Amino acid sequence: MKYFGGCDVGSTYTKCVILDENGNMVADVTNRSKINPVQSAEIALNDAIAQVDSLNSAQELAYLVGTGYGRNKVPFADENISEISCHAMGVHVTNPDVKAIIDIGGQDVKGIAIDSDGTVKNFAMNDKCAAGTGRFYEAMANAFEMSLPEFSKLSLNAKNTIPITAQCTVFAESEVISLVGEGKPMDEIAAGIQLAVAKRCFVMAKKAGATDSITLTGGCAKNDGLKQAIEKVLKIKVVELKTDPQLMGALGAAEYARQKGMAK
Amino acid sequence: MGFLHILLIILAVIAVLFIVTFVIYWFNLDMKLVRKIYDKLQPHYDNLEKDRKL
Amino acid sequence: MSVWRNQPSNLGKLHQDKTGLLKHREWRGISDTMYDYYRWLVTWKDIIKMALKAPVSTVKGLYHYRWMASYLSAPAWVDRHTEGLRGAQLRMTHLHFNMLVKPTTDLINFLLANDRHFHKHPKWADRTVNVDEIFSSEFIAGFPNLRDNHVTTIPIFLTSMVDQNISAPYIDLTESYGVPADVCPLPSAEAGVAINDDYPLVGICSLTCNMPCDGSVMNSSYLDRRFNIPTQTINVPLRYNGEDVQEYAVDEIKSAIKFVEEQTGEKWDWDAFFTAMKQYNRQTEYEIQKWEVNKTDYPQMTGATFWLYRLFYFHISGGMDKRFLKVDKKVNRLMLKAYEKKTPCSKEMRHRAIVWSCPANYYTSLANWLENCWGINVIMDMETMISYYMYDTEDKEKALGTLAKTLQRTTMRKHTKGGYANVVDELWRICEEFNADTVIMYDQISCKGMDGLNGVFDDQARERNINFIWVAQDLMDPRTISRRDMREQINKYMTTVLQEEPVDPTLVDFDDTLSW
Repeated sequence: MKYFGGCDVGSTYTKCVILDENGNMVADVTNRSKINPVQSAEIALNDAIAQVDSLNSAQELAYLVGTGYGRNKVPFADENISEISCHAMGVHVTNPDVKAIIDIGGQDVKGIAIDSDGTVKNFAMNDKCAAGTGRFYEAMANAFEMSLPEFSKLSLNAKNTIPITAQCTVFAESEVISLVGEGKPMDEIAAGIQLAVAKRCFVMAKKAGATDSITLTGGCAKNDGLKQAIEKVLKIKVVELKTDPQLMGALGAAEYARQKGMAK
Repeated sequence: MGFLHILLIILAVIAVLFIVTFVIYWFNLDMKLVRKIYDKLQPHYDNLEKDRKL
Repeated sequence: MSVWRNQPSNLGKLHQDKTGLLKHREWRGISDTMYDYYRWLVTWKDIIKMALKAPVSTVKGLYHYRWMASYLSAPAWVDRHTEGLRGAQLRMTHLHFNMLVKPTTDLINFLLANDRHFHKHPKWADRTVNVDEIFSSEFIAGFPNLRDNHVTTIPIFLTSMVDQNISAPYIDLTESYGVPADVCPLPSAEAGVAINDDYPLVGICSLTCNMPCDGSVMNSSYLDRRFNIPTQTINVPLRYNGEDVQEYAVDEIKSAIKFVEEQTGEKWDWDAFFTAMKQYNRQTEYEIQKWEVNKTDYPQMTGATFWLYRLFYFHISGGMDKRFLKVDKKVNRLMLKAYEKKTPCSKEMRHRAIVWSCPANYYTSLANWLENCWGINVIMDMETMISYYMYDTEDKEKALGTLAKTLQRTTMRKHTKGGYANVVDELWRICEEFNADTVIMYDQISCKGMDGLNGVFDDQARERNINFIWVAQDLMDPRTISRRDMREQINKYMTTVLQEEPVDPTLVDFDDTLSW
């Protein structure tokens, strides 16, 4: 049995997935990224290899594709493919009916339109500003003195939404602290935060040409409050993926590795 | 000095000029030198007293 | 398939890391390398001639003005724009660029020789009319005893194209003066030059206009305070497609003429104006011919070779500098010969592109990179398509009407003002005329001018199946979005959406942050 690896070195988390010849996921790893992206990739890969009994080292992989945020690449991979392409492919193999992705990573937000073969039709991204990214949520959760999972559920039962007017993460944090200090309901403030991010996601999705059948990927896809807000703004139901949405980049990389490795 | 002698000298000078300038051109020595001058000039401009009142 | 001999390859390996300095110049085969060498000698000859004409002023200028040091790198600027070129393309680009170097050296010479900072009674200081950069010199053609001075062009506008690092200190100065950081870096940098007293003090009076943006209006006030000379604002109609505004526009031209006559004592000379406009018309004819060739399957002139030369002669020559016409004739001959032979204009020609919105001053050679790295030929752009009206050279009222229309259709103004039709519909019309499959859409992040139309461009590009590549940039400030970041945006599109392999992989990613 041949095995194929995909390694996605993100700004915040490094993910690794191993597929067998038939496309079954036999290993997956999600680690916090180190400052050195190569080191992050090596550790994640070794952790993934350890999950597969018949693999002893990365050299035994038939093909390895690397991907990552910005210039984070995997130098020892057979090939590096853009993270946009890998996300699209990852979602396509998970659910071929999905036609668009909103990917919210640690430091960027992307809208990706997917073609029928899993390749990218168009994309739009904001990687110049932390607003609406994982960093933004970390700052907000800190302001609320909560963990991210706790924060993500806070807005689900809010009766109203208190709008957050600041566009910038830094100013939004100040605004949120003021609102908390004024005694405003925490769930309503959280609802305002989720709506602010959802609106940014809406813009990215529209720029990429996304129309229907949208899913969320990236770490922030696990944020239930955000999912609810996006559905409200987009006026459509977000498709749930049966695989961890944070693994889509690594899964897509592994699938590319499988396709190229099998063709060799 | 005969005409041929002068001509030879002229040709030799042209040949030397061509070689020298071509070497400068090929190895981009002009811009490498300018870069050094440019880098040295920047702190000078930073420290220059200027009338900044409008 | 390319028929180019001595095809360019591994161009990325020629550059030093960070500074972008060429380790050595490009081998293009014997004939093209010798031609390039000859042109390099000509460039240095022009620079040395400038220095020798007024050595004391030149040294003073170099001592006092930061922007002077940038012009020492002019040969490197030419190198960037000739990278990868061969044959007719190499020759046409060199002819054009030399015709940018020559007038630039003349202008620097003129400014420093008449600068009141260095001279008590300079000859031309009181016979010069200052104008802002989007004014075109056709106006001063009617005053043969006067000269005009595009105040911001030599110190900062052109310099920022030659040296990407020149704007930063001036922008920082403007911001330290209290101007917000989100103002467009163009007026911000220009205001910084005024604050630092780095404009040669030349000029007896000044003509300015309602610029295409508020930032530039702010800058005009700084210039006014620095120069402290009588200034007249010409109000140029923005809804310029309407005939109902033309009478007003002509009145504004007439009032500008009256203003200059009053300030200088000179009289408007119709003979001189018509003579210059005859040359202007000839130049416009040559220009249109370039466009016609580029509409065919064998475009010959691409990128900055096209638009930078156009900008220069349109604004600076005004039909008065005969050297431009000589160059036009030579280039036209080369172009038509290459066209008849069906010569490809680059090693690989994979995409025909229109560049829209204003290019980044700090990356004028992006089109060269597009060609060398991805086989994308920039066959037309927004800057080139400024006014191409021909002047009536007999009827005075008609000529003034054309001058007024020319000002309305000048750089930056023509496509960003006057309504949706001028910026959106026009783009698709040009794509169709030039059979373009790709648009490189600059997104100048400090400008609100076209912001409202972003989604419209995207939607309509999708309808037309056009590869629409957004390239965010910050006009004059490479610190916000570097050249490398600009290339990366295109790389992402080419690899992700079009799934293409680069023509030259060594050019895909490199660090040129410290480059000129």
